Amino acid sequence: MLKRFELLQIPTITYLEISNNYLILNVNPKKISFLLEVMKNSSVFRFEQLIDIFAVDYPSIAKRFQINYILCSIIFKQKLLIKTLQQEKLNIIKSTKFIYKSADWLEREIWDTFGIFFTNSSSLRRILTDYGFIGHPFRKDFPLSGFLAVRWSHLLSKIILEPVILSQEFRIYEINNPWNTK
Amino acid sequence: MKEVSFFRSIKNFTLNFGPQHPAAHGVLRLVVELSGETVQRVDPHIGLLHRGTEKLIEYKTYTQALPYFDRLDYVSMMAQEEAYSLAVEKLLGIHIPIRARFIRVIFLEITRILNHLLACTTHALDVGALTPFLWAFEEREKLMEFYERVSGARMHAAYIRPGGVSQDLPDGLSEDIFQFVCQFSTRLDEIEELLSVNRIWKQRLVDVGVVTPHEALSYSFTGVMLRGSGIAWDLRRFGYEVYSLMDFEIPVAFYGDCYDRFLIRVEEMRQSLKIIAQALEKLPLGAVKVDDRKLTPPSRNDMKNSMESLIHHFKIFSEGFSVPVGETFSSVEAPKGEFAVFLVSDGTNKPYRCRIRAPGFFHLQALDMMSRGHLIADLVTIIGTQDIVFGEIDR
Repeated sequence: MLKRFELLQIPTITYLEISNNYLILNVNPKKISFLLEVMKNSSVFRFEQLIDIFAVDYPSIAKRFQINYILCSIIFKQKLLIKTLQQEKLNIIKSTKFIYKSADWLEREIWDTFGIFFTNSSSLRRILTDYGFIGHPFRKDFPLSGFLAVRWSHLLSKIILEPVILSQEFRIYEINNPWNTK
Repeated sequence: MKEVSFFRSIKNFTLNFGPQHPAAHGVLRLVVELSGETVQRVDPHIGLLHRGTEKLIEYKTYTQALPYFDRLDYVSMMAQEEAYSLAVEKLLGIHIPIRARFIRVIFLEITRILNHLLACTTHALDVGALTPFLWAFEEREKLMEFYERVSGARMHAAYIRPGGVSQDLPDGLSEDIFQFVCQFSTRLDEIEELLSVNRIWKQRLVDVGVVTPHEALSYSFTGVMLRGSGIAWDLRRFGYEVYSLMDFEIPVAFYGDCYDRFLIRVEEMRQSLKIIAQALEKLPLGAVKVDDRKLTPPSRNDMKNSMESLIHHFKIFSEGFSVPVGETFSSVEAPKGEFAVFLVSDGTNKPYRCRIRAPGFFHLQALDMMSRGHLIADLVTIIGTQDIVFGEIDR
């Protein structure tokens, strides 16, 4: 499979490697939808199944969002991981829901949890979080306990949102071993 | 006099289904657009059980993160522990002892039976047959007793851990599992007698929710949903753990309706029995954890007698272990489909990111496609055939 990528010399791929039995491609975010279309329809690859799309947040670098696409080729028994890096607020990734139908909810989820926008996708609504939720919870700068808590108010007889009040301060134990363990 | 128009245009009727509906299998909210009784469009609203598992795991050590996986799909617990353990083991670069691999396979298949019994019979319950449900829960009780004997918990076992399994099989358990395997095939026959040839069951299932192979791939179906549409794809064939040593078949159906998927689930249970019997027969003796005290806790006896072991025990359960920098993707054939975990490690004792790929998420997405043009009663059949559990979909 690696040979096929090398022979074809697809111009959008910047970097190719194999790790843990998976092929990994690093791609410019502008070329994602083109590449996926090639991967799906070309007879030498036939990655017909989209396994997953998800993001990883690295707030310390400028291109903070890494968006990963995992594809699977049933015929060639191969999995492929396509990675792309994107800055915050730079919306250049095209939606792939017209290539793989299952990408729709995955993109909604990424929009919901990371705030990464996919152009020409008409259905970027929140999916996992509550109706009317503010913020993107899976970003590294979003606190674990969140900002608002929901509770039933007996006084008002309705559900109300109020700021989170923790009876005990949130503690995070960074107890990293000073010795080399492995 | 008011003029009566005989040709009124009839608008579609929008109906809210759930989130508290017994056929919704949890907290599914559907906004259904109906024309008469025919479903025109379904918009599932999910996330009512969202707990932010992926985010929580980022704040837990690798050991503490494991029990979250039981609570994702709470009817196929160990399959998910397996996916996570495989990912951590891949990052650590360790190989677990062969006995642990066999024990894992036995319990993965027990989990598959556990899940399929629930899936098939609650499906029957939704469609209107109560008896198979009662019979299957009798059998599930036996299986959960095996869970309990091996881990102390009936459901959320936390048994398959990075580095092996938490403890060896207790005395007499393998004999009892074998006894169960011997009798369970007959129990399956009984359930099948009630359902497989039942006219009402067939009328409700045959030709409902047909998925073509092309659609199944495009909607990222995995597991039974994919095999029901004629694509023979099972990750167990890639031989994680000791599946490559086992002789079993992968049932495939070609029509792709709900009845086909039911038959596949029943056949998969029979194949699981075959695998369990083989694994019990070949079960070798030996250790059940890797012999590395930085990764697995020492035995109780060692801990009481040796200072070094006591320190190790304390460090493992307080600090955990550090995992080398890297990222990995591991997937297993969970009873519902391909369950995958993508782990990113930054070299500390906590995962930097843990992405969970839940098969049910993709199946539910296709609910709209599968139920268009069907009657509203068939909608319930389709939800049942998708084997939806909200713990994993909402994560």
